[in-house]
Amino acid sequence: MEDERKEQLLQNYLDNKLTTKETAEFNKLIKEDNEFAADVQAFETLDHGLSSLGYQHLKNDVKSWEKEWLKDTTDETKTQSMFSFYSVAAVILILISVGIIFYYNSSTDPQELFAQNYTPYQDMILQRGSDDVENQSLTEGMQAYNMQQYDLAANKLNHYLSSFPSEYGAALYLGISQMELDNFDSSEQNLVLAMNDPMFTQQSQWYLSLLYLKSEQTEKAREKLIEISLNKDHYKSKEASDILEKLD
Amino acid sequence: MKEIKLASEDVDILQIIKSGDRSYLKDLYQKHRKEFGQWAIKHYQVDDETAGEVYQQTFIAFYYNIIEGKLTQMKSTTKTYLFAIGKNLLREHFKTGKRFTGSTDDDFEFKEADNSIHEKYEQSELQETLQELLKKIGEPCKTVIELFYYHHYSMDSIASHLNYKTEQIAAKRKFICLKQLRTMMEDPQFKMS
Repeated sequence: MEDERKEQLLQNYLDNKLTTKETAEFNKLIKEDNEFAADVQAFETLDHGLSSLGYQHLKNDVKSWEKEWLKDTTDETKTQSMFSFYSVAAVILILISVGIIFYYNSSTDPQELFAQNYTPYQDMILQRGSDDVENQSLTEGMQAYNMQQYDLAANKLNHYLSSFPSEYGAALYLGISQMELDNFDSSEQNLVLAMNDPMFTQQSQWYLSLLYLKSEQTEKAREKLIEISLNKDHYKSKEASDILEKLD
Repeated sequence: MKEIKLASEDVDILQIIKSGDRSYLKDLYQKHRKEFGQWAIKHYQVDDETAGEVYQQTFIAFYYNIIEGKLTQMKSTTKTYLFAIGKNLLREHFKTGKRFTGSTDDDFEFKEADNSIHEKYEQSELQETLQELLKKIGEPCKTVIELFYYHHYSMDSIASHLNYKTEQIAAKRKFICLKQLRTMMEDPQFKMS
């Protein structure tokens, strides 16, 4: 048999295209022609080797698709986690904001506003070394005031003012002490009195407004606060405006 | 192996895969990857990594079943077919007797889901040698062999791709290239380098 025919049979065999007649011819040749049989075996090995390479090639492709998928999935998870994190953060922020708004809105209660803004006025009498400090009642009264013993302070300062009714500065501390003791009427009278001392006018206005808040005389508080807020030079102008906003 | 028929709506899938479109194959791989992983983990208690490895083998087997003509017509969905191959592979995985405690209560019984391709091609002593020779063989043989053995193009497609007049010419070219490779393999010059 010619080599060309053998090659054609071999090619058709490798391409799985042998006809029935060619298959018989091919099988006969393998049995009778050792060289042809060896060629067939060599090409089968080669064909299988190349097919294995193709398999490996696909395997590598699939492996890279898997890696890519894992990366995308991880990124997606991260994105979702970040989204979840920011979502939770946003929700918390909103809740906090709502809470703050609610808190401040709920602080429109005058007594709440009082509590948020009130601190006893600092002692300016003993600290400044007033001529009156030699007065025992004033000294004891202010000492009691500083120690937040407002009952004693009110008693002593009241005693002092009964002797020196024009000592308006003492009236401020007496008014504050009485406010602490919820003696609102007396407190108001003394704070109004204290306004006569130019040195304590603004303080008296401020504590009067706080007194009205604490005693829930809202309209009086509002009037006093408006007065304070309109005076841009007042040391509590801003605070008065803030309270007014919340009071509204 | 008897011929497997798949659902008609997936006939196009077979044609596309046979055409050698790797980007489509990649999309198909990723389309079913998540669900396969969840299914394997649920029913076979494998970890993520094992599920991924099994899916890779599953997909390769699915591909070869198509290009080797074992799968010519869809009688179920691609997903069902993939999961059936995966199920066989997972069972084999646990034949080594490690952790199989999973339920088999699912719809993926499919005896024809052949996964023997891995045994057929996994090991070949020639792979390394052939890879080196392919770098040296030159054109058009390199392209002809890659199109046929890597991308599994038909002779008709190779003829079209390389502007040969007929598929017979392409087939002849491929055979000539194989002869050339065989010669190179026996040539000490190529063996040494």
